[in-house]
Amino acid sequence: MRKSSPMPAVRLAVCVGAAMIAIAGCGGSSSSSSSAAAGGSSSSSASGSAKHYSVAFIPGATGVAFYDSLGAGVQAEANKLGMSYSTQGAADFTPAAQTPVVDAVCSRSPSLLLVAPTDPAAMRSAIQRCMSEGVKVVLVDTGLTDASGVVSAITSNNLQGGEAAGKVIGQALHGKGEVSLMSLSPTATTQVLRLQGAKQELKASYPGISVVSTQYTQQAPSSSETTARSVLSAHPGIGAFFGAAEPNAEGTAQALVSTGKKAVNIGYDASPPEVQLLKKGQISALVIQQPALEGTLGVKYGYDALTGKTKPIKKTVELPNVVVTTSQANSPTATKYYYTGS
Amino acid sequence: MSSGPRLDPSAPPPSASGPAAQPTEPASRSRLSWMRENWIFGVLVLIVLVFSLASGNFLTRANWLNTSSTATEVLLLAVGETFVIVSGGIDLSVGATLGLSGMVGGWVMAHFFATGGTPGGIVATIGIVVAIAVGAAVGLVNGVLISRYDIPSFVVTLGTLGIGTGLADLVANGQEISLLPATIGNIGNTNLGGWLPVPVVVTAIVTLLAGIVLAKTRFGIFTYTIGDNREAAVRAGVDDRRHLLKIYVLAGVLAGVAGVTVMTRLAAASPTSGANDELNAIAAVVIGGASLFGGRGTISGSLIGTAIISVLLTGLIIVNVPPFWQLVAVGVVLIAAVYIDQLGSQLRAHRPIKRGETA
Repeated sequence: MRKSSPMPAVRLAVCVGAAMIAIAGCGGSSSSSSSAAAGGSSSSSASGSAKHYSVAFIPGATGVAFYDSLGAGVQAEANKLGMSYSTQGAADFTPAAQTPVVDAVCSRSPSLLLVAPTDPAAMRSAIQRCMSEGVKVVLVDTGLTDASGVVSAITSNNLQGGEAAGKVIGQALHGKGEVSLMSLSPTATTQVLRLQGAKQELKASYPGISVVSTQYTQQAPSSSETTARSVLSAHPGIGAFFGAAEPNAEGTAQALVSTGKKAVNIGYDASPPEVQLLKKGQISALVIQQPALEGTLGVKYGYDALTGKTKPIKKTVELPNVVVTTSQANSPTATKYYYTGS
Repeated sequence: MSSGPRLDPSAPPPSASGPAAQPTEPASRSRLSWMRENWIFGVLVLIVLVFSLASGNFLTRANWLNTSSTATEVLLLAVGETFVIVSGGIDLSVGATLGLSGMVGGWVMAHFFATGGTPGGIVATIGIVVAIAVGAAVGLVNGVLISRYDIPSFVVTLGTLGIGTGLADLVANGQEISLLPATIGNIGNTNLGGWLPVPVVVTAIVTLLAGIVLAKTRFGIFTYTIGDNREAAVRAGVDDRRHLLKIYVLAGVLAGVAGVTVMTRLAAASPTSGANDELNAIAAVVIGGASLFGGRGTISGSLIGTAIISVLLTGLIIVNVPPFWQLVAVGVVLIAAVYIDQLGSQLRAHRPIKRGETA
């Protein structure tokens, strides 16, 4: 929990000013550790550095708990390996917003860049420019169609995450009933694959369950709330909701409270508000990625590449997602997966 | 829109804003807007009728509760925006102000809440007051820059739109605030008599008062006069700067109230709340018959405009229109609504109105 003091605001405001001159390292100094939820990583790399390396992290968008956790993993591992850490990002999840950030960060020649590309094709050229200047690049969360030249591409298995959600729904509804799907975007690969996974699983294993509605919402949770209530009006007998993005399950939870209806509500990720709703039972289960592990693995592989130890590096890694239900919400095996947030 | 001469009865060329004199629309204004509203109300009735026939789930208590609470968000912004637009300005910052005031109010509440000891009701009251005060502060900044420094409202509020969005993210590092006292969620989910959510009641009272102020008081008359012809208003002794300042503060306050209602609906404050809402609010005001050149518009018109937007939002889902077509349908209906409305006012006037002609 970092918040409850105006410090981040001040620090960021200062950094905004600094960024106009040259993108300064705005992630704070590497000495300030912000409660990194190391998702069960076991780094065995040798500590103590002969040469000083730096790592920069560029998330897909700022202000997303998932990326904050990923950044915390990056920072923790960087501290361990004696690397300095910085992060910069754009508020919008678009290549137009991310490209200038990548260019600016790379102009400072970090040893290693961890980046979550906002578009599999459009971000290739900026990342290419970066690599041609000798920066080692690791892709996290999202990938590139042409990933040649990168040290490693680490991602969550979104299809598996969707399937896991489908399985939870199938079991909770005992194989019979109506389901509504929700996501933020009909094109973003993460969102598409999650819904696709859920549909596949339901179709294959639970033929008695039908998907009666697929809706796309705005980022604001109130949009998901209105949508979920409308879906409840359209299909009063609906048995379960699955939302592929954080605000979907939050809005649905609130819709169920305000309408007084009961339905299974499956969410994705584990932002602090989602976890709170999970514990209250307003979200039935969360499909959780392992962002901190993505971060630590990414730094480890990057460090290996910098120090010439290429053997242990895996070119591609697909981390499985875990499912946590309300009844498991407080067990330590579950809480270690929760994202760091505000 | 084609360049057909019949479409826009009032449009002078969009020349320099501010004190430049505009053709005045004289006393027939109220009669004209009354007729406009009847037609636009007809459009709303038509939409409701179509949805009701298409699905038995549309005219239900559940959908009324959903649609009306959703509408409060846009309506509160649209009410403030009506004053701004009637006065000849525009406020693009109201959506961002909504998000910012909710976040600051939420941040204060979470602070008190975390330390414990203070009763939830008092914490909630403090949070609500703070949120509305933040809205007023943003409105004050807008108003001062527009009225004292003569920077065009479009530029000022575009600037504060960005500033407000950024500040809302800074409050909690872009994250939501959900550790709020239970009172907040209870307010949003209490339905008086089973049919009237508290935010809807609050919004209805605000709208009614605003309607009276704009239509029946000196404050309203000054607003129309400044929007009609600012120079004439000044010559008539209206303190135009002071009046404009008040209008932008009012829009800010209402954005703060909207921030509170959204927060009570979600039992959480989100920095993304209100994003793009300014466009819906402006659309609602214009659908309701206001002129973007100032001097014309009513609260009841904006109410109907908001109702059309909100009914489409929920109704299209209820009648199972596929998601991509929902966007298309909303766009088509909005344009058609304004066109039918204009057609109506011309028919009532029994003659085509020519461009540049005063009605």
